[in-house]
Amino acid sequence: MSASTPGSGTAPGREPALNPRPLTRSWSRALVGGTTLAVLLVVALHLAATFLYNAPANPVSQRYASSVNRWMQPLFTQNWQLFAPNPVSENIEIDARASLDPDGRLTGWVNLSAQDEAAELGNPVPGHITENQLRNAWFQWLDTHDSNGNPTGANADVMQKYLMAVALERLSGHVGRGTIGSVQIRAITTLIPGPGRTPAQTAPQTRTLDWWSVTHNSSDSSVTQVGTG
Amino acid sequence: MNPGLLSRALWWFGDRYETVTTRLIAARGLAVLRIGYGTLWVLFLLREWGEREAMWGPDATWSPALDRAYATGSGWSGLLRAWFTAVAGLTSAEFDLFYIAAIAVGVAFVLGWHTRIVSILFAFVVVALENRAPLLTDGGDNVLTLMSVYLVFTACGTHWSLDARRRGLRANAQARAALLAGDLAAQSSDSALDRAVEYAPDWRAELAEARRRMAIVAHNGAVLVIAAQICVIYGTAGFLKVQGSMWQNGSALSYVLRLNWFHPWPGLSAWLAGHAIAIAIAGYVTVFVQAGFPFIVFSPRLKYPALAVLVLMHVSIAVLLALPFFSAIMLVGDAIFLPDRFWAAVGRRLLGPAYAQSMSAGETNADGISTGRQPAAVRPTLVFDGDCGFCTASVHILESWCRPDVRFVPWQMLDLAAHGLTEQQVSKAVQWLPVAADAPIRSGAAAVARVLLRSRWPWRPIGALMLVPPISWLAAGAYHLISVNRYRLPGSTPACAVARENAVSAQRLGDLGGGAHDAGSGAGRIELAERDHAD
Repeated sequence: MSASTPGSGTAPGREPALNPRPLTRSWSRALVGGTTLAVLLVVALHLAATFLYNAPANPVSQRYASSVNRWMQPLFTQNWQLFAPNPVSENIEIDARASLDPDGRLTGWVNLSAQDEAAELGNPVPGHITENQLRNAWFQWLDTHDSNGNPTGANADVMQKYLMAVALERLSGHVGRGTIGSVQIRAITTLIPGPGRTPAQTAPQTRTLDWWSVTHNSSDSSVTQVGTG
Repeated sequence: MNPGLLSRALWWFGDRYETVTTRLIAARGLAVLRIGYGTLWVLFLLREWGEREAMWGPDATWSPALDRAYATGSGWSGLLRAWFTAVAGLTSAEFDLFYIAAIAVGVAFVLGWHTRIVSILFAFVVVALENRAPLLTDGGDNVLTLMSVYLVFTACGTHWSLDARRRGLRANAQARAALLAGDLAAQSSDSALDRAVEYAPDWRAELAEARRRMAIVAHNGAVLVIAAQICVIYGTAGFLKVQGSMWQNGSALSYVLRLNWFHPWPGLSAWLAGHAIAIAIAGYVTVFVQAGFPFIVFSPRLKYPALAVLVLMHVSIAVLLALPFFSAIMLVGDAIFLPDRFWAAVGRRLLGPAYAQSMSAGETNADGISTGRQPAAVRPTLVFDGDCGFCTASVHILESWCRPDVRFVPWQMLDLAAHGLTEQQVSKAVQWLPVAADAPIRSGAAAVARVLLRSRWPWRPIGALMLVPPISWLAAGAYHLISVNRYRLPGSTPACAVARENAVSAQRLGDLGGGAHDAGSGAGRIELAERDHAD
């Protein structure tokens, strides 16, 4: 690239650069020219990757998917699908109950979502635990498991342990002196009434997951959660 | 091909090349991003202070073991994995130290203290902490993470920063030193700093210039990436919404308002959800502006209404969905689309003339090479009683503490009638002579308030407060009390004050500029030199 410096080359109406000291050596011009080329290249690559990463699947993005993902993840991971294409239009209540060791006594269902909703009520600046913890834990578990609760993704086990840890932590205030042997989670989904939604559709739907054994299903981390939580 | 066309194309290309290698684009907008994101980061960490252990500590729900398993499952390796799981390896005490350090880095970033290095630290702590619990984050954290990385490549500390202040003071000192040395030739050259560079070996000056240009190119590239990233955010969100049936039939927002997860003010949300027409219009406007944003930013006429809609949207999200951090982070990013002259005007309005004057030597072309002192603008005048020792002492204190961009003149040195003043007025209270001839003359507390208004922080807001009615009445009363009793107050030795005042005021009168008053004998030479420089 030629480092041509058009004399006092400023378009009319544009302020001239303050005090430009012209480069007089070829090595310094090459340095600046090379940097400019490199910046151009990196910016073009990054913008193309960002576009393909966010665009709907198409022949181009599919062809370069692995390269794009290698460039974008994990540092430039992004997802702008909040409330799109359609906003979430259902209220989900997450409940959990525990079976206590050693006698297998059951606690009642505890509404975990209600704890967040109570904390958020009238609070202009709720914390991230209140706003994101249970919601993300639930949706990530859904993402990594099929409708029968079987793992589908690489992080399925992590997500299950995390959802259980969240449930155990929130249950800990409701179990008295017992030790939690296993835990069960259910989600009650209620479609928000709206145009084209019949009363039958807006009736609550319950999905109850299997019992998860605290000691069996989790190696080390979740057990300590019961103690500290 | 037409040779004229070719040469014009080459000229255009060369001109663009010169621009992107010598000019920082959106330097003030980037300073706004730095201050904004840094402030939000600090506020966020303070907000979560009580819950920091539960969120990111060694006993957090998302345990270090889960964090590492997640990193493995996601296939991260090497340095990135070490960075992303850095906080997971900390003990409780180490984590607390890290947390406090993260706050300190945020503060240093806001202040613009050694900005380049601090910006790298800022990106490090933001990415490390946000990825300690990836499942606790929302869109706001996502944007903050991306921006913290992009900002590393920008020169976001050239304005409104301790760095800029340091450069301004240094250049001022050098200019003053050159002036005292009687080096008039220096005044005609560009600046003292330039000459310092010229004295250095040639190749070193050349390398410095090359480095400067490389930093500018990197900055401009990063600015483009930041702007494009924001367009991608809005564009993606908008285009995805266009496909959604609920956004199409205008009911989307009524569902959002009834989500229990984002429901801090149920009464307000229910009331809004009842207005189906308004909800539908708001939804459509949101989608249009979001989907159109990548194109709208190129149209100055559409840009500002679109930004106004986005501000409104984000304020609504902040309040109705209780997502203030998410909204604020998005709003800060929009700042990059406002032109630098807008931010320059905002800066002048907020910081006042005293700051502008102290920075005038530090007005840089991108990298710390000063452009020299700008000619000082005509300044307003405060007329005080030079016979009154107390008044003179007060003026000295005002000058040294508040450093206002105001000229202080004892009335004894002034042609009172020419300025529409009487001896009775000026001996009773200080008088404020504004720059504009038709602006009213103020006296007493109102005059003092205007001096403070042209002072450096934190006197400026105090001056503003002194002009607001209930406080202005109190100030006027206090001023009256003091002025009535001033001959009883310390420092009231009239004879001494007069003798000293003659020398000092002569010096000050020199920059009266108008030439209506003879500067007198002793200090005249320096005055002339200073005026030469100003011209």
